[in-house]
Amino acid sequence: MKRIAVVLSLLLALSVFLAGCGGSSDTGNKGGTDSTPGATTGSNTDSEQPAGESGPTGSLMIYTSIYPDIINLVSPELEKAFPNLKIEWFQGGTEQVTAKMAAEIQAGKIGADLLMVADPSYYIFLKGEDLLLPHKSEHFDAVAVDKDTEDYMYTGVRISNVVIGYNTDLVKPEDAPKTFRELTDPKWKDQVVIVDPTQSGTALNSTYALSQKYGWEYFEQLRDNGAVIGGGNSSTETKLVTGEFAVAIILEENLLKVKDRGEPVEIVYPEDGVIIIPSPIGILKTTQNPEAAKAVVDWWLSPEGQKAIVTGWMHSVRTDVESPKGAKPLAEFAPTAMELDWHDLAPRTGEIKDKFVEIMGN
Amino acid sequence: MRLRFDTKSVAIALAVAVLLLFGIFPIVLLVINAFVVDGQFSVNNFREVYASKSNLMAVWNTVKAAGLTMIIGTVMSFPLAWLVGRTDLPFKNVFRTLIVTPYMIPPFVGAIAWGYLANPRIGYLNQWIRALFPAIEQGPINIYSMGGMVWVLVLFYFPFSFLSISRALEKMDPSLEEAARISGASPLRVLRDITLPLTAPAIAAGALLVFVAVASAFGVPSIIGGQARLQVVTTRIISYVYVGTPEAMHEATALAVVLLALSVVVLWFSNWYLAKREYFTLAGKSTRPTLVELGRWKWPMVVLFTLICIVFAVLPVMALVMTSLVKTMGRGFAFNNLSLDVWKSVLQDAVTWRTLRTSLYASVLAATGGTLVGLLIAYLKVKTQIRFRTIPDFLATFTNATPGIVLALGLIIAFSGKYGLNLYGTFWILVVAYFVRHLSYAVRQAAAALEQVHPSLEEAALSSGAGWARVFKDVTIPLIGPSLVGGWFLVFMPSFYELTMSVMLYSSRATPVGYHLYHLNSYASPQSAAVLSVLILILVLIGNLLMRWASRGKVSL
Repeated sequence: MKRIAVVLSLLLALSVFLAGCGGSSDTGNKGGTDSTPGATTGSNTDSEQPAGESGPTGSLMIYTSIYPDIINLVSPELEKAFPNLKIEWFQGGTEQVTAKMAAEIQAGKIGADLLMVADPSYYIFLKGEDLLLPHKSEHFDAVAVDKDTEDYMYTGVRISNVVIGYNTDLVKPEDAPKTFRELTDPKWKDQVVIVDPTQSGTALNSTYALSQKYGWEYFEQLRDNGAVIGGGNSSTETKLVTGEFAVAIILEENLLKVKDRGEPVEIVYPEDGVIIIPSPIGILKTTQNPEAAKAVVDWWLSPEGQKAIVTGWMHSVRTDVESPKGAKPLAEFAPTAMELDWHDLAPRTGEIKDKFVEIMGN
Repeated sequence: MRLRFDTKSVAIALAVAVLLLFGIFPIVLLVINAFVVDGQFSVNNFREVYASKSNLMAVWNTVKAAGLTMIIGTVMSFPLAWLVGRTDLPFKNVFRTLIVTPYMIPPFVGAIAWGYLANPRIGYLNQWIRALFPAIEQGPINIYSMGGMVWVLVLFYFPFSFLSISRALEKMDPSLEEAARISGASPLRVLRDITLPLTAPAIAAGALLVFVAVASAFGVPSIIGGQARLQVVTTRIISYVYVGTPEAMHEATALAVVLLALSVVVLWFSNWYLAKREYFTLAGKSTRPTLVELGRWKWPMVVLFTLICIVFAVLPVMALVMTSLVKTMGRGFAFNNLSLDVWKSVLQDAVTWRTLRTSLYASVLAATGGTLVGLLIAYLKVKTQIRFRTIPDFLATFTNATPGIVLALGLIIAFSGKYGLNLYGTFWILVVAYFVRHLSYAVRQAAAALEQVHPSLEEAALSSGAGWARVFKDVTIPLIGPSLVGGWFLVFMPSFYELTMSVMLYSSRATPVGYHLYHLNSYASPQSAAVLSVLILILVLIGNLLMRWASRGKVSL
């Protein structure tokens, strides 16, 4: 019996310890921001909140596909702008997040207040299901990309580009591939790694774009050429960086980040068209805290929020914010970008993923 | 004894009801769902699913991987078990413990580790081999292949077979072997004509266990097979679930039912076969067998075992630690390229602690519930005369034999609110899943212990006027305490690092650490996954030591 008591008390101690760990980091962050209440008034919240200048209160759950390291980068900024708001994140690949959303929609309890996933077509789907809350941000007109100009249900908040990356230890610049098309060439046999569209929304978009442009044969040829699915963008990035694979179809932001860290990678903006994805932000209709959600959307679209996006190696949706470090300016490759019809894609995402799994699965 | 509405009957009835509701109902519902489309019985669903070439490939790959692992694992286990159990091999107790270490390492952690060790271009093993033999330019080992996947599966699933054979050797009457020896048979002949035939049922049972475990495994196939573009049934099911459309869910159920049928049939066969044969081997008394002297083979065998233990236990852990310490992955493992940055970022990340906490709470609840319900079900089976008293125990074994992926799918269908109870998307579905899946460990522990308790002790208390609840609390439970604690840990540990069900049942507010690790590895940051793997290994090791100590050595993984 004594041993049982010891085990029980150890467990108790462990759970207190774990609770403490999570808790202390929360309070630690708060402590850091409390000292400068309302230092930045980037959040222009002219709401009816009695709290006044200290901004919205309560809590806000954001479902996102933005990388954890970028969230950690942005969190302090957000906390500075919203000292009284407890912002929680649920992070996952877009397709994993939307799969969770699907289950929650069915169960009638959506956990998210704000949605920041990559795939623009998903917002069209949500709008069709009448699940979004309209909000015309004060920065709406400054947004230069895809946005819902009829009902203000969503608006682009960050731009990700699917490009080609290669490992400079393995491939000389003059030998580097110039087009997506070229990757089915025997020259790249067993060298190519691609991202999984059942996990990543941008990969879903690029799969759609490439299959529209070159037909599904393109993926059959990639497969027969020994291309491998590397998981999400980050895990694919690792396989490129470590030299496990020489070439990747991957997000520009991943390449920019690791290149800056000194890893041996280089970016190719393919001549047959960069796949430009203006990922939106949208408020769920079911939110319990619409004022806070609107204020946070405004912050993301403000120059401050957009600078955070650029620090996270993505392109801004505003023309008055410069490109991320080391990237080609959007204007240079946008004219030749690959065509994408988000409304066509919206009802077909399941079909696209199904087809991809079918082709790559054997 | 007739069924009466006293505390005892009510408690037992409740326990059985919980098992039926959370374990059996979802599985039955899943099977019904697979056959009923729009209210009509039909097998069209199956026809469609199995018309697809890639699904058939997945089934074939599953059978191939499970079959090969079974054969290789068994062929490997027998000599090892025999050497440890029947010879004068030095340090055999140490080897016995070390050799089943993979049992303690969550298979997906092992798979991650072997990815780092043996991927063709930059695996540590391959780099070393190439450094030793500069003539080799490529590979030579490719873990991302059917062979590689089977290799990792063998490492992590052969302990089923090894333990089964070892136990049989322990139980077997050694006088049979001695009789043969005295009559002049050589040790090898004894092995061939006596030991092997007598342990055959245990070998077969162990082999089938390996087959079923591998067929329902998800971690290794998803991490190793994913990159080799080898789909198996479980990874296919997850793909369908992640596609998320209702049609895809239907296809997932059709695949799941086949996996379920496969495991149930195989385990049924194994139990039936064992029940018919095992009395031969059980007849023995536990006299110590005369050990075969290895003679000049002694030290070569020690070297062999040491090598095996290094490959099984040391290499994977080393690969994880090395990877977790690298600064820039592009430059690999070198002394001027080391840093603790990744460790720092993982330890400072609130998500790490949140997911660990979720897993801890869920598995503590599952283990506590499991111990309680398991005890009552064991009590029903061992200590009462009620008809059908062994059925709940059987049902618990059944939910345990059900592949995790199938069970999780059933739970999603049953508890998404369609039938009143809405647990999907909450923390509680994790608790239920862990509880149902691992309940039978608690039942087995409690039943074994209860069989040792003489009824006179309870009768004495009852005749002194104590109520059943009081007797249960003051007499029965204290008597079998250590076994209960052991059972508690046997539910707790696999729940804590559970992956397969967690991958399907996690939600934004309740993300278990198993899923977090999977997510880091396949999506967000493979290097952080190495750190978290090491962290989980440490926790599992501590848990295992704690379990041994608390159950007074009665139970260990």
